[in-house]
Amino acid sequence: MKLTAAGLQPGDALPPQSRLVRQEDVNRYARASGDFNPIHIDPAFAAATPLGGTVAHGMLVLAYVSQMLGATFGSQALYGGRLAIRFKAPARPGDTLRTEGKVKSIEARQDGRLITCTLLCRNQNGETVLTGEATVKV
Amino acid sequence: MMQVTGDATPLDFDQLEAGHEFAPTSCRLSAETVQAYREAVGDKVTPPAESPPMAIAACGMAALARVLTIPPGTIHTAQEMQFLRPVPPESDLRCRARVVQKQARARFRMLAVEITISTADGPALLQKTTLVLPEISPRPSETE
Repeated sequence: MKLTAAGLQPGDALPPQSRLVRQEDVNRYARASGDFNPIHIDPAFAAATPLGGTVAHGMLVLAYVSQMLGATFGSQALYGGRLAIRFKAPARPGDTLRTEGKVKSIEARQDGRLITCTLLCRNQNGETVLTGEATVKV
Repeated sequence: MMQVTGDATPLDFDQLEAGHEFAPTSCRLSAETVQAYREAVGDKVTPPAESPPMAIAACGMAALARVLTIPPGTIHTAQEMQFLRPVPPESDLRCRARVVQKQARARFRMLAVEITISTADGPALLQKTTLVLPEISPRPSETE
């Protein structure tokens, strides 16, 4: 569901999106991005680290967040905007990640409006995977 | 796969200081690379004439890995991005990276790097990446 600035108010929730992260998705992202850090793709290596198993690339999780914003505001909305994220916990293969957003502020500009949203991504156990803020231009 | 080229030898954490500017690198964002990226992340939003914005950011990360030794087990802890304008597939990207923060305490090692990604038309993406590198192995004298 695409949103426009008209009618939006601080506090409004963005349509959430959920994604199942599979190891094959992580492996495919490794091939596409060239990031073959074994923490993502080598179960034996990852099991011997404090993380205890493979984890998804942070940039893969961010791609999901970016797509939520694009689906909500349109593919052009990120241009002229920004995204600031802190990764709080790893996303593991088998996790279902739910990305939520909430409008924080709306600023009118001559060439449109800047909408700043807080972002939260949690797994199926309610654990926070990332937090952040996005500013989009619509 | 994102192909990054450059003349630099990757540097280790210990060789860096805040303010260090890495040698520039280039990344070819071919149509095949963009398509592979779209399929990998399940992108259904970006129009065909544009590369997904996060694909540009992924190029930045690949460029960083070309100039910085990123040990296995390195954790990505934060990311900031300013998207300036769309980039079409079949674009040649120029990446410049600079260390903005470096911390080393006991066995904790953190690095923050700013990356500017440009096309022939100018900057397209500004990003800042924060990495925590794995604990260094104790020196032999520490285990005796």
